[in-house]
Amino acid sequence: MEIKVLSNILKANQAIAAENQQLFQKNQLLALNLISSPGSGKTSILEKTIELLNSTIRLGIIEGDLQTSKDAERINVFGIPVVQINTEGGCHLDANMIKMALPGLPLPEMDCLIIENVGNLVCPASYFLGEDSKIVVLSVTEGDDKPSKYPIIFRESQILLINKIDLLPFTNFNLDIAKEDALQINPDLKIFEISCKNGQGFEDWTTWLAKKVNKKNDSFHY
Amino acid sequence: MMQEVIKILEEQVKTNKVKKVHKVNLKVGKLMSVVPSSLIFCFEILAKDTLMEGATLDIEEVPVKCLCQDCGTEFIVESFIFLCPQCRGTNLKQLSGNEFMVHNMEVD
Ligand SMILES: Nc1nc2c(ncn2[C@@H]2O[C@H](COP(=O)(O)OP(=O)(O)OP(=O)(O)O)[C@@H](O)[C@H]2O)c(=O)[nH]1
Ligand SMILES: [Mg+2]
Ligand SMILES: [Zn+2]
Repeated sequence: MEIKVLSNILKANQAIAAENQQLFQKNQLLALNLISSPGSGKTSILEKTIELLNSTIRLGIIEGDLQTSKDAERINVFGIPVVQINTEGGCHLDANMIKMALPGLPLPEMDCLIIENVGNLVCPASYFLGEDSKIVVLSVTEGDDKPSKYPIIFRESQILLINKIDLLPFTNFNLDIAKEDALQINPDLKIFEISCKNGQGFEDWTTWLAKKVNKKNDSFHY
Repeated sequence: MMQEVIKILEEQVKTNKVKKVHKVNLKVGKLMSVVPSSLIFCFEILAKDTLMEGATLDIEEVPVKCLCQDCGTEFIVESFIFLCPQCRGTNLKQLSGNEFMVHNMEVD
C-alpha cells in the first residue's frame, strides 16, 4: 500500500516563524539571524558590534549553543539583554525555540535583536526564525570554496561578513573568488570584509547596520 | 532534520495503522546541499527498533528552477549561477530547489 504524505518538513516551523515576525514588527525592531560554521567569529563580531553601537542602538541578543552558556556569558559583560538557548545537540535553532525565548527579552525597549545561530552552514539556512535578514559569516581560514559548497545559505542571506581578514596573508584564501562565487549565487548580497582582531571594516559594517535599524524603526512613524 | 522526518513518518504510521514500512520517498531541493549517504545513515540509526527499521530511504533531488521576472524565461540553474540564460538578468523568482519533504511511503 502507498501512503501519500506530501508533508514539508519545514511547514510547522514556518508558521511559528510568522508569529515571531509579527511580534518583531509590533515592537518595531530589526531582527537578524547570524549564521556561520563553528568558530568563524560570530560571538567576536557581536562583541565588537555591541561595543561600537551600544551607545546609540538598543540591542538584544539570543545565543544559540549546543551545550554551554559560554557565548552568553561573553555577551553578558556588556550589560545588554541576552537569552541563552541550548539546543542539546540540535544543529540549528528553530522558530519555536525563539518563540519560547522571546518572553525573556524586553522587546519594546529594543531596536535590534541579533540571534547567534548554532555553528553550522547547512540546517540553519532552512529554518526561518522570523528575522528580517540572515547574515552569513565566512572566515578566511575556512577556504574560499564555501559559497559553492554551501550555496543555500549564501542564497538566503542578505549580508555576507568575510571575517578574520587580518589573517589573509597567512592563508590561500582568494578574496575575489569567494566574492564572485557568492555574488553568482546571490547578486543582491551585501558584502563587508572585517577583522575582529584589528577592527578593520567595522566602521562600514556598523554604520550600515545602524542605518538599517533606523530605517526599520522609522517605517512605523507614518 | 531527519528527526523531523521520523516524526512525520510516525504520525502516518499511527493514523494509518501501518504494520511495516518498506520504503520512504523524500524530495530534497538541490540547494539544500544534502548528502544522501549521511541522510540514509541518520535514518537507519533513528529507525532502529521502530516499524521503519529496514525500510529503504529513497531521496529524489529536485532541481533549482527559476523564472526570470524580466523576460519570462523559465530555466534550471546549473552550478548555482543565478543568471537568466536568455537576457542575463538577475531579477529571478525561484520556483524550486529549497524543498525538503516526505513525498510518500510504501507500507503494509
Ligand atoms: N585573527 C582573528 N581571529 C579571530 C577573528 N574573529 C574571531 N577570531 C577568533 O576565532 C575564534 C572563534 O571565535 P568566536 O567568536 O568564538 O566564533 P563563533 O563563530 O562564535 O564560534 P561558535 O559559537 O563556537 O560557533 C576565537 O579564538 C576568536 O578570537 C578575527 O577577525 N581575526
Ligand atoms: Mg559563538
Ligand atoms: Zn531573462
